[in-house]
Amino acid sequence: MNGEFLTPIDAFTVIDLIFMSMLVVVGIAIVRLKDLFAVVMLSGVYSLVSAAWFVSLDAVDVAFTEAAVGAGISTVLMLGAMLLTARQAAPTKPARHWVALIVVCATGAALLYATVDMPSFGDPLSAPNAYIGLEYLKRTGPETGVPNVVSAVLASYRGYDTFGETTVILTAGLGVVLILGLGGPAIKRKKAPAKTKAAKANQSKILGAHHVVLRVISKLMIPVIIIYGAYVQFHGDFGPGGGFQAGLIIASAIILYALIYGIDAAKEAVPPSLVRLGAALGVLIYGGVGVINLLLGGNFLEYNILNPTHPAHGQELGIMFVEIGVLVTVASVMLIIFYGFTSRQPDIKDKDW
Amino acid sequence: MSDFLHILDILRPYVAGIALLSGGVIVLIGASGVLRLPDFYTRLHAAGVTDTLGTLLVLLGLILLSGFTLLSGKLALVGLFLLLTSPAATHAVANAAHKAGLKPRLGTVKSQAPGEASGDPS
Amino acid sequence: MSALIASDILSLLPAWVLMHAAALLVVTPLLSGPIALILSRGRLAWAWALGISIITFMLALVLYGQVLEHGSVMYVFGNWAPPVGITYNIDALNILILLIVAGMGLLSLINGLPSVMQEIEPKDQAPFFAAYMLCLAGLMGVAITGDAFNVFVFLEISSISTYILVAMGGSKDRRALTSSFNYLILGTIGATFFVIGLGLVYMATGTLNMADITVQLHENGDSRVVRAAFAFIVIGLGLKTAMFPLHTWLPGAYSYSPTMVGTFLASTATKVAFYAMVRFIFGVFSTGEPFDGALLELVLAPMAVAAMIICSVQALYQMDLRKLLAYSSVAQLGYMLLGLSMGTAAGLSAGLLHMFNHALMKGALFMGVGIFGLRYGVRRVPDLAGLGKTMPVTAAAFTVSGLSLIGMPLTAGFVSKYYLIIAALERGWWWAVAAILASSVLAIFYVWKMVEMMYLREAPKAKSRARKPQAKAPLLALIPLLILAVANVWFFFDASLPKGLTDAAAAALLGGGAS
Repeated sequence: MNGEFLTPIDAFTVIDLIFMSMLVVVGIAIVRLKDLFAVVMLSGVYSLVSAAWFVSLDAVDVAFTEAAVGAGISTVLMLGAMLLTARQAAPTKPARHWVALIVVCATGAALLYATVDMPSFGDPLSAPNAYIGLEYLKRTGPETGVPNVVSAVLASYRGYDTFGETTVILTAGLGVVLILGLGGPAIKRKKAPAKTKAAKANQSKILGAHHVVLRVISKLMIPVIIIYGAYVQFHGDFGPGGGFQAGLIIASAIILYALIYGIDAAKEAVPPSLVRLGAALGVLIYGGVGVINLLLGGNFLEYNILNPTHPAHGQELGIMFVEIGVLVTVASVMLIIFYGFTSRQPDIKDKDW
Repeated sequence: MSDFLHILDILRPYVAGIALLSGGVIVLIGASGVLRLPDFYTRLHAAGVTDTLGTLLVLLGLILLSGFTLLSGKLALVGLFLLLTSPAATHAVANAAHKAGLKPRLGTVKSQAPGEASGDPS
Repeated sequence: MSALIASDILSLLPAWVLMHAAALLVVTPLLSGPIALILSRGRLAWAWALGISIITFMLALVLYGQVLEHGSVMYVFGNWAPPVGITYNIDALNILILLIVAGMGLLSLINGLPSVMQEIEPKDQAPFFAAYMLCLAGLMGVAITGDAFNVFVFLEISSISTYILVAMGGSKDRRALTSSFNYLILGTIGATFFVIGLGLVYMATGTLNMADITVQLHENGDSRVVRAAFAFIVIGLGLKTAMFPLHTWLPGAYSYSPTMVGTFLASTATKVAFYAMVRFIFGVFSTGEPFDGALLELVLAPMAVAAMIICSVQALYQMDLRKLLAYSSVAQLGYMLLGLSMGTAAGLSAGLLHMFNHALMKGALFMGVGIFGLRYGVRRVPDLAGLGKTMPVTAAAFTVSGLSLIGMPLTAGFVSKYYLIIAALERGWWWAVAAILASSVLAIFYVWKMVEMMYLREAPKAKSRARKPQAKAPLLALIPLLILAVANVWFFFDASLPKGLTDAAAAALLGGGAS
C-alpha cells in the first residue's frame, strides 16, 4: 500500500520469528509422525507456541483463547478420540498425497503472490488499522463504557456474529449428541445402600493409594479452577477473557474431575441431560437478550435500550448477559463432546493406571 | 530504616535479574537433562525437579520486578499453583509409567543404548 | 401493480413486524433450534419446526412485499451504523433466494415427517429437527446478510448442521457416514479458503461491510492482495457450490442422507452458495474489472460446460435414483454457472432463473423418490417398474418435474433454458448453446430411463413388491410434491415473479454499462 512504514527490527520481531520457525518445525513433525499420541501432544505444543506468539503480537485475547482451546481442551478431546481408534496412523499410498501437495503449493503461492502488496506489519496507516479498527478504538470507551475493546467489538459492535458463533458451537454439540450420543446418565453403584460403609471401605481399597496424590491435588485445584473461570468471565470487560475462555476453563475443571474420579462421578455431578439443556440454554440466553431489545423497541442486540437514561450502562448489562450465554453454551458443548467420546469407550479402570 | 528500604529498592532489579537468569539456566539444564539422560525415569526427574525450581525462580524475579502490586499477587498465586501441580503431574506421569510396567534402567551407564531410548508409558 | 397489492397487505401487519422482519426471519428459526433440542418428543419437535417454518415463510413473503415496495430493505443490528456494525441488506437477489430457502424448507419439512419417523431413531428425532432448523437459519443468514464476515458465520452454521444431517442417514446406510466425512473435509477446506479471502479483503480495505468493501476497493484500486482474496473467495464458495471439479462431495452427500435432508439440500444448499458467489463476483468485487472478465470466460465458463456434459453422462450411468438426481444437480449447477460466466445482465438473470426453477424441479424429484421409497422401498431405477400404475398421482407429479428438468415446453425448466440460450446467443457463445442442447438431450435420456421404468414396465409380480407397503398412503408427503409439480407448470405460464426478481437483481448487480 504505502511503502513509507517499515516494520522495526526489534527484540519482539526476533521473538516473533523464533516463534514462527518453531511453529514450522512442529508442523512438519506433526505431518511426518505416525504415532497419533505424539501427534496429539505436538498439536497441543503447536497451540501453546502460537498462543505465546499471539501474546508477543499483542493479541492477548486471541492468545488466551488459543491456549484454552488448543493446548487445553482440544488435546484432551483428541486423546479421547484417539482412544476410540488406533494409536498409529494407517500407512497411506504416496500417490494420494500429490493432489494435496499441489493444492498446498498453489495456496502458498497465492499467499506469497499477495504478500508483495500487503501493508507492513504494524503500519498505523494501513487499512485495517486506520479505518474501522481505529473507529472501534475511539468509540468503545464513550459508547459502551467497556475498557476492553475486544470485548466491546465481540459482544456489541459485532455481537450478531458472536451470536452466530455461539450457535456454531451449539451445532457442533448437537452433532455429537446425534452421531455419538451422550452415553446416558451415570451408572449407579451396584452395592446396596445398606452396606454403605463396607462398600466405601471396599471402594477405597480398590481405588488404591497410588493416585491418592492426584485426588488430593485435584480436589484442591478444581474449585480454584472454577473460581478462576468465573473471574475470567466477569473480568472480560476489563482485561482479556470472556465467555469463550471462561466456558473452556470451567469445562476443563469438570473434565479434570472426570479424569481423576471417573466418568460416572462426573456424570452424577453434571448429568448429561443438564449439559444438553445448557447447550441450548446458552444460545437462548444470548438470543433472548436480543429479543428483549426487540420487545423494548430497539433493534436486535441494541443494548442501549436496556438503560435508556444511560446507554453505556445498557451496553455493559447487555454484554454481561450475552457473555453468560456464551459461557453456558461453550462449557456445555465441551462437556457434550467429552461425554460423547468417553461414553464410547470402556471406562478407564483403576488397574489401568 | 528508610535508608535500608532504599537500598533494598536499589538492589531489587539486580536480585530480580539474578533470579530470572538462574531460573532460566536451571530450566535449560533440565532441558539438556531430558535430552541426555538414559531412561524415562531419569529424564522425568530432570524435567520435574528443574521445572519446579526454575519456574519458581522466574516467577520470583518477576514478582521482585513488579514490586508491591496486584500483578505480583497474581504471580504469587501462579507460583503457588505451580508448586502444587508441577510435582503432582510429575508424580502422575511416573506412576503411570510404573503401573504400565516400565522398568527403570539399572546399573552403570557404559554406553548409549539408542534402542532403549524412550519408554512408551501407557 | 403487484407492488400496490403488496403494500395493501403490508399495511395490515403491525408496524413492529414490518420493522424487524429481516432480523426475525433469521433469528426465529435460529432460536427455535435450541428449543427443539429441549423438546424431547419427535413429533412435538416436528410440529414446532413446522410452525416456525410457516412463520419464517410468512416473514419471507413480508420481506418480499417490502422489497417490491421500496426496492431494498436494510436492517442494522444493535443500531450500529453500517461500516461499524452488522447489517442485513435485502434486494431483489436476496429475496429471491430467501423465498426459495424458506419455501423449500417448509415444503420439505411437511414432506419429510413420515420418512423421518421411519429413518431416524425416536430419541434422535428432536435433535434432528433442531439441526434442521439451524441449517435453515444458517442458509437464510447467508442469503440475507450484507456483511462479508457474517456470511462466513452463517455458512458455518449451515455447513456444520448439514454434515450432521447427512450423517444421520447412517442408520439407513452406513455410507452416509463416509459421505458426510468427505463433505466435512471438503467443506472445511472451502470455508478456510473463504475466510482467508475475507482476511485478505479486510487487509486491503479495513472493512467487512459488503457495500463498504465495494466503495473501498473502488477508491484503493487493484492490488495483489485483492486479487488473491478474490481467488480464495471464489474457490471457497466454488467448493460449497459444487462447481464442477470441486463437486465430488455432492453425490454421496445427497444420495445417502435421510430422505428429507436430501430433498432440502438439493433444493437449497448449493443455491445459497451460488447466490454468495454471484454476490461476491458481481456485487462486492464489481470494481475488480481486470480479472473478472478473464476469470469468467476462461475459467468458469469451461467448468460450467464440463459440468453440464460430464455430469449428465455420469447421471446417465447411475442406477441409484438419488445418485442419478445428484449428478444431474451438478450438471444443472453448470447451467447456472454458465449464466453467471456470461457476465451480462441477461445471462445472470437466466442463471438465477434457472436456480429458482431447479429448486422447484429437483425438490419435487427428490420428494417423489422419497415417497416411492416410503411406500415400496424404492432405491434403484429398476425398482420403479410399474409404479405408474400403482402410484399414479406421485408418478405423474414425478414425471412432470422430470420433464421440467429436461426443459420441455409447458414446464418451468423450458423458460430458464430458453432465456439462457437467448443470453448465450446475445453474447455470441455458439458453443454454449450447443452445450446446453447436448446436455438437455442427455437429460432426456436419463429422465426417460426413469419414466419408461414407471409406465412401460410391468410391476414385478410376486417378488419383493410387498417389501415395505406402508398401510397409510403418506398424504402429508404427497401434498408438497403436488404443490411443486403444479409450480413447475405454473411458472411456465407466468414466470413474472422469479423473472421480475432476477431481472431486477441482474440489473442492480451489473448495472447498464458493466456488460
